[in-house]
Amino acid sequence: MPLANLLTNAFTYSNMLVLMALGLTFSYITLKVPNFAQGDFIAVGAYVAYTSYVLWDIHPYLTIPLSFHVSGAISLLMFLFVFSPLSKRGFKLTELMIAYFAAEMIIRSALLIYTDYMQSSLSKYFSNILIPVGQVEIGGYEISSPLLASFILLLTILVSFLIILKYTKLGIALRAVIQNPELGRVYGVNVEKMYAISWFLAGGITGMTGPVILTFFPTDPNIGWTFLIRIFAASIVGGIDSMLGAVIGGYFVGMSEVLGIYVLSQPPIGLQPVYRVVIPFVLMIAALLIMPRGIASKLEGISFRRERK
Amino acid sequence: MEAPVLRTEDLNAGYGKMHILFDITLAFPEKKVTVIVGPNGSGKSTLLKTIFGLAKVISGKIYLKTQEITSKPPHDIAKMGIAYLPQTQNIFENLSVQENLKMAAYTLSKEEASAKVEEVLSIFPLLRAYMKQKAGKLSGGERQMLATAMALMRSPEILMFDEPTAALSPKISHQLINIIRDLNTKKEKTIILVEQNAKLALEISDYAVIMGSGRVTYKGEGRKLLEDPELGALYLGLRARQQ
Ligand SMILES: Nc1ncnc2c1ncn2[C@@H]1O[C@H](COP(=O)(O)OP(=O)(O)OP(=O)(O)O)[C@@H](O)[C@H]1O
Ligand SMILES: [Mg+2]
Repeated sequence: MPLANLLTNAFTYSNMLVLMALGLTFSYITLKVPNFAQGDFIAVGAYVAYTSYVLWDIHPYLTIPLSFHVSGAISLLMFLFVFSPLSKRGFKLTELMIAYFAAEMIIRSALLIYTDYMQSSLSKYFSNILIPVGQVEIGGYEISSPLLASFILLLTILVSFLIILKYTKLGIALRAVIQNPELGRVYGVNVEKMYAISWFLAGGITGMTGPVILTFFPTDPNIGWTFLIRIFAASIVGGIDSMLGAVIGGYFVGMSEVLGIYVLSQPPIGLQPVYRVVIPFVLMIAALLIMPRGIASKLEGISFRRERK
Repeated sequence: MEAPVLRTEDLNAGYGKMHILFDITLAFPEKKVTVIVGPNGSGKSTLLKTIFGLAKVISGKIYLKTQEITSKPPHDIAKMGIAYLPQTQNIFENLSVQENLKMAAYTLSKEEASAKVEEVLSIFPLLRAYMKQKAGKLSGGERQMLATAMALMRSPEILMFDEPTAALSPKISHQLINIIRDLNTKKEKTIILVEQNAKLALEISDYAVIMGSGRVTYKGEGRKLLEDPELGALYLGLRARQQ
């Protein structure tokens, strides 16, 4: 594989992973329970795009906003009908995690039923799908469309998040409530509403990667499940309680996986590329052992010292 | 006695399955300073939290004027005219001082908020130097000033302070108590003040409540406790010496 191709793959993949990890981090820092269905939002987003493509011939990238809203809505429903009622009855981390596993299975099964139904009624493939979108030419260079799309998407999300979180009343209230929900209530913030907004955003951000994944990776209803371990690895390596951590972890894990499996698949090792998922898994275990709060926690230490000058 | 602006009726409350407050019947007089004292763990903070909707009511009722507010969500109570300074975790540590003040003005309009920021900064000028600093990096006393400044941002009719002078130097404590007194005498606010420093607080009090083991053990005129050595010794350990 020529170097340019390898790097294109690595960057596209990492950009996507950053977005997925941002979604997980965002849902985790609000409710402090990891959402095991986070990966399924990718599949939901991808099938929103694929359905629009098959039925109305819409370019997958044009359905990104729709994918955002549909996955966001499912995430919001999980908050309203899984988290809220259970936590009101006093259930804690373990029970909630089991409930999320159940929700994950429900979402994935629903997708499987949906794709089976569509496949038989439309006589079109709905599994193992990939929409090739080719390349675009910019200033004489051929750039892969998924790379460009993933890059623009990531940049847009990061910039809008920074602006929202730093400068808007909603953003400041979100950050406030994440740190100290009770005090938020004291000052008149409807904390449940803030959580609902966060969960909508969390599902939406991960879901928007679906249409891009669809043009980059063979997709089926189980893709979310296969990505889940990678999303967790990215979030944990970076630091699950920090947005910066998701960015760092996404790149670290994404690059390691793509470049790592390339190196490992060459002679003399000659590892089969299907084992690539082992890399994020190993990185996650290593992070938990060596640096349980993630890379971002170390960086915060540095900036802390700088601010004190 | 003045008409009560806030009242509890046979209030029993706690956290989860824990029963902390027992049969609290209190009437907080309007536009007066009520001081609540009592040993550690006697339920003073829990009483304020219960009024504000942050603890679980087991039975009994809470009224704001004629309206029942029992078990209303705190974000509604915040909008109904009660401000509350919690005893602990009373600032947003991950936000800057400026953002903390903005959050304290969450229910206010932009114009009201910026006018109020100026007002509270003139009370705590020290905070001006830290506006862009993360609140989590303030010292104990500075945190308390910020927390109090935040509680003063909205100026509803009723202000509840849970140990505002904790962590403050004696000089600043005095200043703060005077500020609280002024809120009452000049701005006619109803004040509910929980204080460890009973002597300091009772000096500005009209009405006093003493709590012990989740119950009200004394309610009456505040300054009487200071003036009557027997009462003072009995309830507060003021001038109570081993004989
Ligand atoms: N969040 C909570 N969950 C469970 N129990 C609590 C909680 N907060 C306080 N308690 C318990 O309630 C009782 C009363 O606590 P509270 O904070 O109301 O006392 P206090 O009079 O304010 O004490 P202090 O003077 O130390 O502030 C204590 O026994 C305490 O352990
Ligand atoms: Mg207390």
